[in-house]
Amino acid sequence: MIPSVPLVLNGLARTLLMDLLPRTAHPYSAQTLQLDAALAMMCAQEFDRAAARLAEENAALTALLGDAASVVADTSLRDALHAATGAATPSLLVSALHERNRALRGLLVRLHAHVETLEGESARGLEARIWAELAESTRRRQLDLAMPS
Amino acid sequence: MSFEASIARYFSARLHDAHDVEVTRVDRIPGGASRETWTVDLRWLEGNGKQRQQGFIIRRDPEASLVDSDRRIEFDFYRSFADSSVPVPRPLFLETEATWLERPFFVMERIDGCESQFQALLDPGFAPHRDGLARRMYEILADIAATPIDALPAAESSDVPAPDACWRRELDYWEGVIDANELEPQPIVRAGIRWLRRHPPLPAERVAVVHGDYRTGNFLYRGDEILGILDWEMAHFGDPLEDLAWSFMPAWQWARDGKAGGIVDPDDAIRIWEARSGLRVARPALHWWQVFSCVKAQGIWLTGAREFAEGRATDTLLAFTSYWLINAQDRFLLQALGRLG
Repeated sequence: MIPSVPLVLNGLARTLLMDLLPRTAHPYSAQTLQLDAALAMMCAQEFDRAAARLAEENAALTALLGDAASVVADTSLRDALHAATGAATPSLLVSALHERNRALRGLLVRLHAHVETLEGESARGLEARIWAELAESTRRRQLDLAMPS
Repeated sequence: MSFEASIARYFSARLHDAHDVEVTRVDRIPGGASRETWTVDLRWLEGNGKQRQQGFIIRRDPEASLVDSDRRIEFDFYRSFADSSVPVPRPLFLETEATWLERPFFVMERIDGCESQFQALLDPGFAPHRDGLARRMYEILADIAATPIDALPAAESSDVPAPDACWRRELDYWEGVIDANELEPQPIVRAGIRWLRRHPPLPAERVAVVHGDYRTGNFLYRGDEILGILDWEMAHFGDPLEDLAWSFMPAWQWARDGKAGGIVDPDDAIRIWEARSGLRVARPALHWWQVFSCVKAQGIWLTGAREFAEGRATDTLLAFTSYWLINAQDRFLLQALGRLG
C-alpha cells in the first residue's frame, strides 16, 4: 500500500508532536499525546521488520534446539525438541511466525532449565549458546525512539 | 452526575462543617500507572460563614493497572509516616466502597509549589541542587529503613516476615505475577528467577518498611528539598536492601550515565544510606536484590501488557511500557546477570 504504513504512522507521530502537543496545556493530555506519538513510531518500525525479525529468530532457535537434542538427558524434552525442529515452516503471516516463535521460545525455557542441571563441557557449551541467543533476541527487539526525518 | 459534582457531594459529606462545597478545578495528573491520581481545588463555606479553599489529591482505583495493589495498605503506609522524618502528604480519608466516585479511592492533602517529574532533574539548570537532593533522597530512605515497625499503622494491614523469609516471599509473589500475566514465554526472566532461587541472599539485617518503588519521579521536591514521598502502593515489610537495589535499577538511570535516578553515583548513595541508617550493605545481597528488581519490574510491565491486550485498560501508557520496557528490562536483567556481553 502506498504511502507505506511506516510513512503514515511516522506522519501521524509528527502531527501529534509538532501540531497538537504545543497547543495542549493539560499535562495529562500532553503525556498521552507524547506516548501515542512514541507508539506510532514504534509500530512503524515493527511493521517493517516484524516478519524478518521473527523469521530470523525462528531459524536461529530451530538450529539451536535441533543441536541441543544430542545433549539433553530428558527423553520427553528430547522428543519435544525433535518434534518442534521438524515442524513445517509457517506462512509469512506475522501471526503465524509469532505463533511458531512462541512455541520455540517456550521450548527454550524448558531446555535452558534442563541444561542448567547437567554437568559437562557440552552442557556448558550449550548453555553459553542459549545465553548468546537470549542476548541476541533482545537486540532484535530493540526500537529506536528518535524522531524520523 | 458529573465527576466534579460527585467530588463536591463527597467532600460535602466528609469535610467538617462544610457548606456550598464547590470544585473550582479538577485535573488528572500524568503517571500514576497503578492508581488514577486527581488534583482537586475546593472552595467551601464553614458554619461561621468563613470561606475556605484547599487542594486535595484523590488516588482512585483504576479500571486496570500495572500493579494490583490494596488501597488500604497504601493508605496505612502513608499514615505510618505522617508527622515523621519521612515526609509524606497527609492522608485524610479512605473509601473502600464504590458509592462516591464509582471506584474505591483515598484522599490526601496536596503539597503545592513543588515538582515531581524526573525530567526536571536532568535540566542543566538543576545541577546546583542535584547533590543535595540525592543526599536527602538517601537520608530519607535510610530513615524509612531505620523506623521501628511494631507500632506503625501499616503493621495492622501488612504481614511482617522473618528476616530469612523476606527474599522468598517477594520472589514467590512476583513469580506468581509473571505466571499469571505473561502473554508469551519469557525465557530471560525465567532464567533470572532460577538464578535467584539458586543464590539466595543473606537474611535481612533487620526487617523494615520497604517502600517498593523508591526512585526519582516518585517524590515531590523543590530545589534540594524533598517535601513528600509518594506512590506507596507496593509498600510492604521486608529487607531494606530491596529499596536500595530498586532505586539503582538501570530503568531509572534516566541520563544513561550510571547514576541512580540520574542524580547520584550508587556508591555515594550507599555511603549516605549506611551512615544514616546504621545498617550495612552486603554487596552480594545487594546484587541479589538488583537481579530481583529486574524480575519484579518485568512482572509489572507484563501485567500492564495483559491488561491492555485483554481490553481491561485503554491507557496508552500500558501499551508503551509493553513495547518499550519489556525488552529493555530483559536487557537490564541480562546485564545484571553478566550475560549481555
